[in-house]
Amino acid sequence: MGMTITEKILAKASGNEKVVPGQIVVAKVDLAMIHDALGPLFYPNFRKLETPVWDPNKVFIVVDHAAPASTLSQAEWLSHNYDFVRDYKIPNFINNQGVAHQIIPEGGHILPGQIAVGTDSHTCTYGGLGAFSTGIGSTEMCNVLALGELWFRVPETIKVVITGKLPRRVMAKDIILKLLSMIGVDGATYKTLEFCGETVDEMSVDSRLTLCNMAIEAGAKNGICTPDEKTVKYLMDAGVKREDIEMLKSDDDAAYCQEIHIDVTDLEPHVAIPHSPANAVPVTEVEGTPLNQVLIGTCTNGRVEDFIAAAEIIKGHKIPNMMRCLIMPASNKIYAELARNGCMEIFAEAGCVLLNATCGACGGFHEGLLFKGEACLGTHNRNFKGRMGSPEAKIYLASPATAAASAITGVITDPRKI
Amino acid sequence: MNTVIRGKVWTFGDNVNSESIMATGTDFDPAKAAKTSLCHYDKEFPTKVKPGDIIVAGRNFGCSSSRPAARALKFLGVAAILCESSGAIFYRNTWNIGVPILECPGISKMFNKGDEAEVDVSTGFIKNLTTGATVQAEKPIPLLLERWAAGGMIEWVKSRRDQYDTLK
Repeated sequence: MGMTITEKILAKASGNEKVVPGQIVVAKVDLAMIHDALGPLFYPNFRKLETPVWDPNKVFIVVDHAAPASTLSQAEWLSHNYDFVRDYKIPNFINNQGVAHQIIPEGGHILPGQIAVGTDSHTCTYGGLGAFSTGIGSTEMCNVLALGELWFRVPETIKVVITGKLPRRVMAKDIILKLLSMIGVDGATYKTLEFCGETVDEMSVDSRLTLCNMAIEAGAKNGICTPDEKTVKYLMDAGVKREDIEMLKSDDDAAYCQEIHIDVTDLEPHVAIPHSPANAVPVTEVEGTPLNQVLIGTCTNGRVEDFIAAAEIIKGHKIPNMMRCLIMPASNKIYAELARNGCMEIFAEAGCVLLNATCGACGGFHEGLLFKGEACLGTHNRNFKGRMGSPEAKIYLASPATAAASAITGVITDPRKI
Repeated sequence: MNTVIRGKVWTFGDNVNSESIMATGTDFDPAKAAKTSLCHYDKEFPTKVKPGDIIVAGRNFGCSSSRPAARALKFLGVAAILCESSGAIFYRNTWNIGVPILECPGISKMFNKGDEAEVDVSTGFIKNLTTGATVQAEKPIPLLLERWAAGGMIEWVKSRRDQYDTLK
């Protein structure tokens, strides 16, 4: 019996020739990501250990949540991050340049076959590049920073086979929302979601990052795509040398606990209705729902292709004046590209709000909180009650195309009709 | 070490997310988060829960965000969590914080709010002292019991000091 890509990565990092689902292994970590909001919760404990960081070069501290601070207590979180970076001489400190889940992949900091852990549940995003990548608690990060390793229970793998050509204005986000509606928010608890099939082969690395970003919304330990030539090009563009990229894939006789098939040929744009990402329905079922805010961006859908899709729809339109349309790129690098390719001009002239690259509105930290009774449709990953401000607000999740179409009409709108 | 815990039960349903245990607006401060912890599901919980009480929940308890949500529950004195299943990050956080969490299919049907529960954390054997019903939960793996016995993650890492170069 062969191994899945996830099993191969965990076997190598734990010094085993073979691992099987359920086995407990202690694996070496290649990258540890800490963000400003949860770092301060464990820095005091780590200091108590009176030990250096196991390998400062493998640690990334990213200020993206309170970026920049909008309350005094957020300013205090930041000060603890600055102190930690200084005291422990962390070279990879990314301060207000974008969301970690974009910074790490776009910088070529994580490679196929490596293991990344981060103090954020959406760390699973980097699986789009063929890494084993998962969110861990701040409590666990103390262990990682001291020892450079962590225990894992080898997850079972669900194979998600995606076939067919995506119809016009239907995007990777619609696929993952559809999958969530099929398996539910605990459909993959502690399992791996391995995305494969011709649709995944055809899609961009950015779209694969979108798929893997939301693996956690099904409870998955990690999401992963097989690295290919597109992955290699993406990483080489980021300055990685070809010889440093290990190409690995699941064996033909690897064991899967479940196989799910999705044919996207007739897939409709999907919208997750309050208060769960798994409450996705075809957009046609909720068309016309009034909105106060649209959020386009975030680590789920804040990449260049996402904004090009949105700009195509918004170009030449005005945002209604009772609507706020927030544009929040996932990184400064993306921001700069959007300035060069004309998207930012389209958004600005349409009356959108141009925000910096941050977790901001998505996590309810700053810039775009909702009042009771308000409704927001966003391209982010979670619509839990109270996430973006008032618990009496409603949050809908959709693709950048659906978000853009809804922004110019003020109500949930099918992007295929624009 | 005494591994048996007894307490009054609070019940919760399926898919309770960690953001509702420790809300974002509380700056992840356990004392502030405790004031609204789980209030979307049971308004009485934050004010009426007593130290030593036990949570019995459905599937996927604590799903989603990686925030150390159990710190709010620990602040309130919750002694143990028994659930059908839990979010993986929450599960590990909760042990590391020093609150035992046991997964046990069928548990949510075995308890009503206000029942008395008894759980042996080391064996996973659970009794409903009110009804007399018993059930065997999945036994926690030794790694987790070790950390719990050490007094949490930090104490456990300290206890391993001699085995690692970085800690010397």
